Amino acid sequence: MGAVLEMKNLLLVAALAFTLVGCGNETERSGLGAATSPIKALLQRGGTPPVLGDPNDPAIRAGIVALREGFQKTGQPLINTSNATLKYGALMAPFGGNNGVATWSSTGYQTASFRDGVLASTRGFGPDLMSSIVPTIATIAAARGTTQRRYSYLDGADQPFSLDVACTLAAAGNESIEIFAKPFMTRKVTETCAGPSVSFTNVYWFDKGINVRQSKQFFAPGLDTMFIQRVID
Amino acid sequence: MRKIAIALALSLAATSAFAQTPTVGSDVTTLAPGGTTGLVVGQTVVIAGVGTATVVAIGGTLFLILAVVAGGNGGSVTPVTPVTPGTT
Repeated sequence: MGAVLEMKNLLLVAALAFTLVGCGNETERSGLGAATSPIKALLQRGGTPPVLGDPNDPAIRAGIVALREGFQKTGQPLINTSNATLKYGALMAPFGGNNGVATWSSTGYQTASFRDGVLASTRGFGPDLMSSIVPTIATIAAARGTTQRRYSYLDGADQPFSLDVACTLAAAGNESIEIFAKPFMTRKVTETCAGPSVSFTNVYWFDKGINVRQSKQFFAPGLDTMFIQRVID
Repeated sequence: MRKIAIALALSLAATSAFAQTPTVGSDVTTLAPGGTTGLVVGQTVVIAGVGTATVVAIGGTLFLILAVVAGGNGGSVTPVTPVTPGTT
């Protein structure tokens, strides 16, 4: 079974490598009229060529808009999660819920669990947040005062240990953000936390009341915060 | 000339096909798993029978975005060709 999977992966890599051979700097393909390319048109107007892969590239931008439209059409709730340290990024869909905690899963079955938008635990990332005691979203949305958090983990010998931090909440003004080509006007709140061995800042973007549209939340020591965007409600 | 844009989305970090994620336009999950490992932002990937997609980071997640200009003979699919060498 493993050999079959390995062979399948090899074939896929080989196929990809083969197809990439065809990716040159060819500027035109048969059947494409010169005036039909947005990039060509931009060049003819004397504009600066867009950076390849730049989301602001008109052609790419159109693709992202269409992507969101497709997501919205299906109505599948989605969040987008990423972590810079782990070089991880994936969409997640609802996986289950228990006692007010909603668990979302990627295709690789990495999961993140939230209580009203506050990250409470993770699985599948390696140094996972096994459990936590976190403030309510209403407390965070109030954007003032202090909070206490406790994060619990398993060490290399599967022994539990906890990190306790004290946090200070502060309003950080209003900010316009964009998630998959859709703009949101948000209210930004920071939660600056420090403990004996760790310090970090969680950031929340509320788009209405206590609804978290986007956030950066700590989940494990030594890792960057988890970046979370609510793409489709 | 009518221009339409379609997008193919694939969460590249995922190690298996995301059954719950809608795929727009066409099924490109044959590129995953494994086949997409190592792709970087700005890289282009030819998807057989579909066109050329560009790797784009949206919110830190990599996606294949296929921008297509259709028109002429029955709306044949033609990729928008990048004009700048790939950079990361």
